Amino acid sequence: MIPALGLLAGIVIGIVLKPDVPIWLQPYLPIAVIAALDAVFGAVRAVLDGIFDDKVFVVSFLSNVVVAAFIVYLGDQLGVGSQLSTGVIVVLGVRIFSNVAAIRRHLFSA
Amino acid sequence: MTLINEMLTRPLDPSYAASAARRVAAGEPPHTSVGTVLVTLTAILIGLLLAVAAGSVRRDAPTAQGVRAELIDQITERRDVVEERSRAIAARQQEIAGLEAASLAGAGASLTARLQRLGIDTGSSAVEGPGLIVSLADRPGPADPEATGVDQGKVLSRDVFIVVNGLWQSGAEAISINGQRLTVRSPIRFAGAAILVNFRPISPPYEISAIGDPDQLPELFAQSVGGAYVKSLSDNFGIVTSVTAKDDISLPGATRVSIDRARPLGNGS
Repeated sequence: MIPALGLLAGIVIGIVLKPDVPIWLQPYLPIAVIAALDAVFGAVRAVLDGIFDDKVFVVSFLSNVVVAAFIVYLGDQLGVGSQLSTGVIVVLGVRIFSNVAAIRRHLFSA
Repeated sequence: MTLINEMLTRPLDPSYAASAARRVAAGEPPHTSVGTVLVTLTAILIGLLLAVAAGSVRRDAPTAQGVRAELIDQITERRDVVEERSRAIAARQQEIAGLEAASLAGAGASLTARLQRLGIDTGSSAVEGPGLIVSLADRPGPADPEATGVDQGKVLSRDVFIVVNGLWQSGAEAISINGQRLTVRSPIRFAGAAILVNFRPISPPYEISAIGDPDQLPELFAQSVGGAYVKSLSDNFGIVTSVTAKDDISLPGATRVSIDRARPLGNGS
């Protein structure tokens, strides 16, 4: 419950403050969002599995974002930024879907 | 395959299981609380990230639209200015012609005739006479999606000036393109997707009107390179062309004929 409220608070703060994103940071935003979603769904599944760990959650979120951004940065430097972005999105997308499938099995046993 | 199996069968971060096993071994419950400060802070951070990402997309769109609208406004505004000044020039030229006629009234008919002759020769006077109208228009319908590079069905500046050269060659005495009279100082240029004549953009259909001998001009043009070129444009590229002889064509005078620096040879200081 508390993390859900935190998420909502973060969204409200973002909408109210409307912080300016520097141009150089903008290509990494979608990747960071995907990485964050992966961490969130992983955490929800871990809670349902009964093995949630707060440190693992934080570390997995941060490392997801940093590694995804680093891969895209590297791709940008090598001229294959969009391909590597696609790779990151595919890998994290597959994980998100299978995590969501596991969550669904827990909640609806379907 | 190992990589794909790994990805599909074990999507949950293995460190969750590892730390749970460690806690169980230490005699603690396998999971920690969901509501710790660390988790809450991360949740706030993730929410902020989502809102910022969504906001940055939303905010960019109206800016781009605003810039586009502003540019379009500028284009129409400048075009209006050009139109207005061209009209002013035409009015002034008429005024000058009137004044000239008035001041020359006493000077004799030969001078007036000479002036008229010069006006026609340089293209500064509006003229009329029999002649030929060649019109070129882009191929109708959407551009061929299969075609790579340039759209072959589009009229290019080269097409226009080959036709113009063909007309001169066939004995045309005066030519105008979409109301832009050609003079000795008239370029036909290509700028982006537009054709410029006398530095003014013109838009399709391109109507090239030429005054010349009604008995010879159509025939000579049909035989010239220009005539063959017009035919090949419509046969090969689907460009809509037509060549019409007319008994009475009137061409406007050119708005830009002044020469400031060039002097007659041998008359220098």
